[in-house]
Amino acid sequence: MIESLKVIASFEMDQQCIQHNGEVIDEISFTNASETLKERYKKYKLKYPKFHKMDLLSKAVILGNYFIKKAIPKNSTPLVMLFNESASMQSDLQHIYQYNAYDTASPGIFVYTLPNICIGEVCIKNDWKSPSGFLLFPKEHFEKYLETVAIEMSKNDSEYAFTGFVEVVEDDIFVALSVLQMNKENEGLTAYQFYKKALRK
Amino acid sequence: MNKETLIPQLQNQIVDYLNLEEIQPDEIDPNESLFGDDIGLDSIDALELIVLMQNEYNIQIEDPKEGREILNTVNSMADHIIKMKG
Repeated sequence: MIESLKVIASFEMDQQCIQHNGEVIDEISFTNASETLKERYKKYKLKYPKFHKMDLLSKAVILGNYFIKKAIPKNSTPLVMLFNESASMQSDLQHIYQYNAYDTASPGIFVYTLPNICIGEVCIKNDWKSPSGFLLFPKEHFEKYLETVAIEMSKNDSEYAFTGFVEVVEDDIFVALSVLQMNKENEGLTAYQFYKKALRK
Repeated sequence: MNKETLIPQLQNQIVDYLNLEEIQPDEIDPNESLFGDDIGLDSIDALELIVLMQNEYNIQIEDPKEGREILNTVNSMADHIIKMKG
């Protein structure tokens, strides 16, 4: 079933660069994850003030969305499914830090101590009322993950999926997002080919 | 404690606590609702303001109805602080 999933747009980001549809478009002078994402927000003029309140996972997804969302037709509601290995570890660590420092956690941090909140953020941004899910999968099991995406697309009759791997922990950023289309007949990359390359770095 | 110093202080603290990176403190009109179209705070931001009052002024807001009135504008926040602190 996953052989029927084609990549029609992609976004990759790590500490070195940003790639859009396989081409390097941005070399990164990495300071830390927070500053890097903030700089990219300004550089690409995202103009979405809520960005600054988000956790780093959500910021990474919103940044990727800026590049690949346009591949999804305006009247379509894609499946939104993301995965990583660390859940909301970055927000959890901030939560612990605040408790230790102030005996209380800021509500603005607390609300991000679940990884699926980033799905909510991208759906709000795009006004998608989508079937969605956030799964925890080791990177090397991406094939199993893609099988789940294919099943959910079929179950929900979704022609498109906004999907991929997004991880920001401490100062490690690793993002590989894509828009997948079911049964697209072209010579482009399959989802398997894209993620096999993207996640083996 | 007087309003002339308290209002700019609150404006700075609101920007800081709520990560309002694209707003300058003096752009927050002390008489306009913080939850209106201008600044557009939401319910999570309201909770952050409660934490601000606790952390910066040692003032607890426990009654939600009272909280809505107190936190509506920078002016109303300043009035409440002065009332509680003298």
